[in-house]
Amino acid sequence: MRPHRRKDIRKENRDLMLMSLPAMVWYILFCYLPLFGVAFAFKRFTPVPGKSLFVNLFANSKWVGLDNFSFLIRSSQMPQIIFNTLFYNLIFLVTGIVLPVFLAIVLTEIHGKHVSGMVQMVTVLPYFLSWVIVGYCLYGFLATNEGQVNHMLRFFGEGAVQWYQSPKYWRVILILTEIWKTTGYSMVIYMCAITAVDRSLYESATLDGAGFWDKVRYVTIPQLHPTISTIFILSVGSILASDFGLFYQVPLDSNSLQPVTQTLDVYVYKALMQQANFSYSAAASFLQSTVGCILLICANTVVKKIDKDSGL
Amino acid sequence: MRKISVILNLILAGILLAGCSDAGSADSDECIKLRWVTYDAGSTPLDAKKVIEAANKVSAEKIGVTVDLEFQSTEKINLMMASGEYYDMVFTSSWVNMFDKNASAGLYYDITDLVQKETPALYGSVGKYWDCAKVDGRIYGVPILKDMGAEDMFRLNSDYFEGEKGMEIPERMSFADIEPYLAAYKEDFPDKYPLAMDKSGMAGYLNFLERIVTPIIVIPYDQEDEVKAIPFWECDELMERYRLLHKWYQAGYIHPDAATIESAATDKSYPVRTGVAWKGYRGYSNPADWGFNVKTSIYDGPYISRTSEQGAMAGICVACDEERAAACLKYLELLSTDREFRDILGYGIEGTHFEYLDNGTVYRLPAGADRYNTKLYQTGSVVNASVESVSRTFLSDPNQWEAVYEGYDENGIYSKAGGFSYDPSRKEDIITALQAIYSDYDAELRTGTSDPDKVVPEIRKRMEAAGIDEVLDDINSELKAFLADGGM
Amino acid sequence: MDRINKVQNDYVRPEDSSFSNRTNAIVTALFIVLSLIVFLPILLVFIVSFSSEQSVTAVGYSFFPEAFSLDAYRYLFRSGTYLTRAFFNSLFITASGTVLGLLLMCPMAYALSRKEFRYRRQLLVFLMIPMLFSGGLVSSYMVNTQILHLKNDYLSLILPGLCSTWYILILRNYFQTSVPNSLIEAAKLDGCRHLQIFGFVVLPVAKPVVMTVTVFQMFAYWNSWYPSLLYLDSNHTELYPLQYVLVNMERSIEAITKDAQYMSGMQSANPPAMTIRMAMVVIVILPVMVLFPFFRRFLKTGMTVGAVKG
Repeated sequence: MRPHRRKDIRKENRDLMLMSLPAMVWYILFCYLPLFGVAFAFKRFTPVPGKSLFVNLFANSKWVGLDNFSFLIRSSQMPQIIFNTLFYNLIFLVTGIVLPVFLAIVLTEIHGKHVSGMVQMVTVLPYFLSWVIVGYCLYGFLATNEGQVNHMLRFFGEGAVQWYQSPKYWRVILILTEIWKTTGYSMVIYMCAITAVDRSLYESATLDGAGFWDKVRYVTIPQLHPTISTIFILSVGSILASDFGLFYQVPLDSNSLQPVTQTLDVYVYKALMQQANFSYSAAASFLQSTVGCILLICANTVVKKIDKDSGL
Repeated sequence: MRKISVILNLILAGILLAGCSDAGSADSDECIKLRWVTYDAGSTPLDAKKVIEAANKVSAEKIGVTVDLEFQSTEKINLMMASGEYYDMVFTSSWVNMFDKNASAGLYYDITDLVQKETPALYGSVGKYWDCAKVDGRIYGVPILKDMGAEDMFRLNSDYFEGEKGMEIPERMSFADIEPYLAAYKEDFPDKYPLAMDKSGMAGYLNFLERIVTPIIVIPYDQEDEVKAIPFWECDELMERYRLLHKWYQAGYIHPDAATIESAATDKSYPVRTGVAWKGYRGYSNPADWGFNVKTSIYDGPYISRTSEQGAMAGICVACDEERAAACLKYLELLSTDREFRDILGYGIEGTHFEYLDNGTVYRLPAGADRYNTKLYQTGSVVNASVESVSRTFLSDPNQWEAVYEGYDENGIYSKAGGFSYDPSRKEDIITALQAIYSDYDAELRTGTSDPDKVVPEIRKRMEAAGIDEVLDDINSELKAFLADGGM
Repeated sequence: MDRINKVQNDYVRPEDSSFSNRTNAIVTALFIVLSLIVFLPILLVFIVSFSSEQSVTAVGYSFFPEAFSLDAYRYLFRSGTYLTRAFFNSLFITASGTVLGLLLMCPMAYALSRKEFRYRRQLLVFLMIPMLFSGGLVSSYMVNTQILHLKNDYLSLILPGLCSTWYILILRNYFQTSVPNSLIEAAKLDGCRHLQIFGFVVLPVAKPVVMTVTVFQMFAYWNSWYPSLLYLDSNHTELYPLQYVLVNMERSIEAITKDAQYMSGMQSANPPAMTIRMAMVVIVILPVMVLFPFFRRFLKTGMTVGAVKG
């Protein structure tokens, strides 16, 4: 390479580096700096007020090994909590992919452009409402006295149900709520991917005499494959995490519903509200992100084994 | 790449320096400014800044100390204590920002000698109540003199019960005695719920027990032969009350959604409420607040124990130097000896927030009632503050506290545990787990939503699995040794 | 470029559709019913907020209240500055968070999209690591409050959420695939530096994806309340954003009531307790609903790019 070109390249690299710099500073301050906090999980944090964080964490606190993790296994509900966490996440894995993909495929084929637009707009809306608001919406239906559902039940001569005290309904309610909130959004994502598919593939399929479902099976699904597997891998990675809002705010933290609403995040939050022990909380989130990270890498490898082009 | 790493290093170093150079610094040589964090009891008064400024003017002149008073929620105080933030003085008690736990962990300044040397008047005024601030014989906090025994009461709409129904409201009743009142109201208004109830339950519903690990391990006051810590399910009185509550719940005396209702404070129509106060307290009885006359009827207490005496205290940060610690004590002393000064933090600015009535009591003006309506215990000695009258005509006794303290000596029900405290840090993992378990049932038990005979065995099973026996044994062996030593 | 054109007409022409007219009618009807069901809960909140308190006591939270009333709104608007203040806080936080976030993310995404950039791979890894590992909430909280001293101010609500690796990748993908390389090379020959190319060549072409990220960022900030919970205390209620006021509903109502009593001098004016909650929910979601139709267009373009491959 000629010298002046090399100089140009250097200048270009410097320019690009400078452009990245502000964001890099942000990442260092807000993502990398807190990384040393992993130490919280293995320390008994005993700060001296007024001393700097580093001194408090590394000089004033003792290493305690895995002691901080023991409160997690002290709860006899732990199997149930893990079960709930996995149960909901697995269901959401299915409902979060199958349902929106199906709806997206069908909606794409609809003739009316305006109908399709309206449907998309309305169904995406819940995604942009916060869980607190979703909780209030649901309360409007399920409140014992004023709730709409109990009013209907009374109208038809049935007895009122105390929804917030009846755990047997809540697995379904929570799943429906999650579907209500996210399906529209995922559907629009998949629709975008579908409309990006080359239309000529369908035309040649039609010439080959393929029906609607054949086309879905042999054209649409394979084309959606990369999108689906990306989303799949990411969900597997967060399998121990749960949406705190859905499991704590939407059921209004009702005691009777615990057996079906308690997930790992909720348990940790509750244990901490009582004790404010930083080390325990750090231990719990360390566990979640480690397991998540390992699973994500595994899922990625497996997906790549099956299909070389998919995966992250 | 080298260049980048240089830049990164520079940035990091800058951050570290910024982080380190920020130690607490005293700002001027004449006045010591203290960071005082107190409990906010639900909300921060809107005019707090103005009032603190007024108080600072007085205190700077008198003792050369000013305060930066912050009102914080329980969670924020916990967070502050756990994160090692700097403060000078903090609200600590047996129910918010646990005193025994923090004192055992060495978070508070040992004031045993300092308080006698620097502030003898404060030392004298607290008297026998210093015992509740002792851990292993040393004093770690200043008890705030207030109602030292817990008295629980029902607050009834007397216009309705006495006027309309001709029922009598006695000065004392038992817990179960409220039932006919609830029933009478329910009969008249089948769609309404007579007993005010939200997810935090009845006010002070555990006061009749001495809590060692709130609310799971308790010592009942009436244990006869051997004093022993027991799990709450072995306490018959408590279980009986849970059963009654459940019965009332099923009878429709309690709102069916009580366990998920955040607060029942805004709805003023409930004819029966509960409260914790003292004999002669009139704060619940202002007809202008409620739209009807209110009569109180005590059903519990006064129970006096280490827990109840620790109702409100001030802890001084262990990282204070002696000068600042002494400044804290002097400030507290001023609050407990100078009534006029005390009333500023208690009621606000005279003429704006309150005025003195002829009999020496205080009346809150509308601005005070809305914009600086704190509870006295939040800001220092209650006993030294003027007594509040709820209206210009409905006067309180300005010397009510003498009668209250006499009442403790005469009818007080004293704990037999003699000021025993337990340091939870050794069993913290189990206790954290126990409390997480308890919170799965808490709101529904105390609102009467769940049937205790069904739920409690379940709690018991889970708690035993989590290792509650280990904690019980630990507490009881300590308690035994403590009592054998003759207590405090 | 090709793909973008497709997105612009994202519907299938009727003659291309695999549906017969009859199937189409049925499916269309089903979708309309579905959308209605999805919309019902939101509609209920709206209706209840306009119902009279007596109606709620009598027929509950009903789609068909006995009487309509504006009491709840009247009460809220008369209640002094508490809500208005919160509304403007939310606006300010949303606006500055969005603008600052874009100012950080777009240039970096551009740098990452340039193949000639030497540290491209390293920087990508630098961005991916926080997606996999994090110090956790405790650590972030401690660092933000004790080292960066973010507490009780607007910055503490804005700064922690500025960047997202996900958005940077979406932006980068778009810059890479949809901005023709020849355009950039031509600009370079004209003597443009990268910052100029980015500002004058790439950004105008990439408007759709920038808008998408803008929309996402705006909704994220508008809906966020967790930073307020962590970094604000009750001595700074003047900083509360709307969403946090909603989370703290009971306390807020108390504050509003006090404020209202003080402002109007009326004692014991009972607030319409049940409808007022729903009215507050409406105030929070109304901006989202009003702006949504305008934003939907931008959402889709960005999603297409982001969805194709992360």
